[in-house]
Amino acid sequence: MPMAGTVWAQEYTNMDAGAVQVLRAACQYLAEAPYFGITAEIWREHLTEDGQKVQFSRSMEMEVERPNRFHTEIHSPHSQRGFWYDGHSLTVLDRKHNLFSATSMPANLDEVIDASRDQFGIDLPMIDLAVSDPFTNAMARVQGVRDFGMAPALGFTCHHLAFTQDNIDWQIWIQDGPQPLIRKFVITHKNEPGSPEFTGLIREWNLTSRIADSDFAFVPPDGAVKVPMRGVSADAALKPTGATEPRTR
Amino acid sequence: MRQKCFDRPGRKLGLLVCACGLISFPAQAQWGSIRGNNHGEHEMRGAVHTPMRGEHERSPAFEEHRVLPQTGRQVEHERREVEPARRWVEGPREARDFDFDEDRRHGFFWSHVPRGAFYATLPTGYLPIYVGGNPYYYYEGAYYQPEASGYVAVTPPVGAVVPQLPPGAEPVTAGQTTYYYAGGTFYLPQSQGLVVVPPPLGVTVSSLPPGATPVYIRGGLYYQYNGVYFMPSIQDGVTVYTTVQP
Repeated sequence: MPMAGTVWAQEYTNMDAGAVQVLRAACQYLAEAPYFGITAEIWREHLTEDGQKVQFSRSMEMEVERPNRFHTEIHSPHSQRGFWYDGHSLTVLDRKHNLFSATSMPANLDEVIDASRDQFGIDLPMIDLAVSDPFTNAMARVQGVRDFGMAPALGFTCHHLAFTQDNIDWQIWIQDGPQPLIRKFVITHKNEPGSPEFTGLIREWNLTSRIADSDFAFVPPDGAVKVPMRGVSADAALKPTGATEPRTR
Repeated sequence: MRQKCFDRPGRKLGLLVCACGLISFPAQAQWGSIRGNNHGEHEMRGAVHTPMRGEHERSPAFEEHRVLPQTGRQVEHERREVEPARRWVEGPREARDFDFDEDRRHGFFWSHVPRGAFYATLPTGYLPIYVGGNPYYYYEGAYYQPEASGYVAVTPPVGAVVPQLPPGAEPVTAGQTTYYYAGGTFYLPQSQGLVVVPPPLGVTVSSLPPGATPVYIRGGLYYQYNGVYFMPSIQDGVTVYTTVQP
């Protein structure tokens, strides 16, 4: 992480110093946590063909143990999926259909996040929390910052900060006080028709209880079937390899 | 196979719509993280384009027969189409979170019409069609046949021709041929309209046809429907199904 007052002073001199410092403090608090877990809700806006904006939602839980373990569950009545990274491989479980797939991954969580997206098209929401340097990650393309002062989010008094980039705008609500926890996060896809937004609401944080090793180890549920994982460039008919009989514990 | 361009059933307007999709809406990935948005937009695999109302064309055959040439009267079934249908054709499979497609599918009319269900009346705006001399009724991807005191939702009959794609139809390609898939039914654009065809081999779809059943062949899981096998895999973090010959 860049040293405060050095790199920061050079890179963000035309921005609201107080707002940047609030974000830096929250990111540093997060980066220094060897492990953490969150319980959150995510919302995505979608524009229908006749211009109606609708919101779809998921509940999610995420557990991270730095530097190389990760587990998240993303679910709704329509869909239930789990993602595990154990330092070696990424496993995706479609709980609704009881299908899973695994692929080998780099040993570094940052690289896994990028490889999951670039190679397999996997969007891991709120994954900015899990990167090794959340502040540099967040500020990478920021062009402007505004501090809107204090505002409530999920019952917590928070700093409301708004950032603008060329590709997106984003806002963050950071809990006021000794624990600068992120409580709300909004991405506005301002260059898309209708400017649809992604919203994350973090109801619970766990930074004190160590996460059990078993949480990061994927164990196929009863009857789960392994299927191939297709890369983003896959466009040929699949060969039926990699599929196996249902597995029973 | 992936659809490389937003395709329309053989009309110049289709090319225009496609071009608008590429030019008017510079595509970006809609990821649920700053990192995803900052890193993912350069790896877009296609243009994002949600067609807006009015962009969808009708089949020329149906346009040409909207008015009876001898009398100037409107054809009965065309008059029933006065109420505009919700029209929604999926764009190409671009980079985004496909998990929410499950929610979107629930918003389409056909997702609420289980095959075999009985209805006392037809939905307003239905279209009567004949396949092999048998009467059917069509509305937004759902097909019905008459019964003694009402109508029953049925499997879309191969050979049925409808004037426009059902809402939510997703383009899928096999070789050089583009099909559209909605509610478990494949449509092939033809000069007379959109024709219901058997599932083609080598296409990947986001959901199984209703009634597909799991089978194991040489240790591999497939889903069988009307003699066609769908092989599951995980792509973009969600389950997809490819028609294969096991």
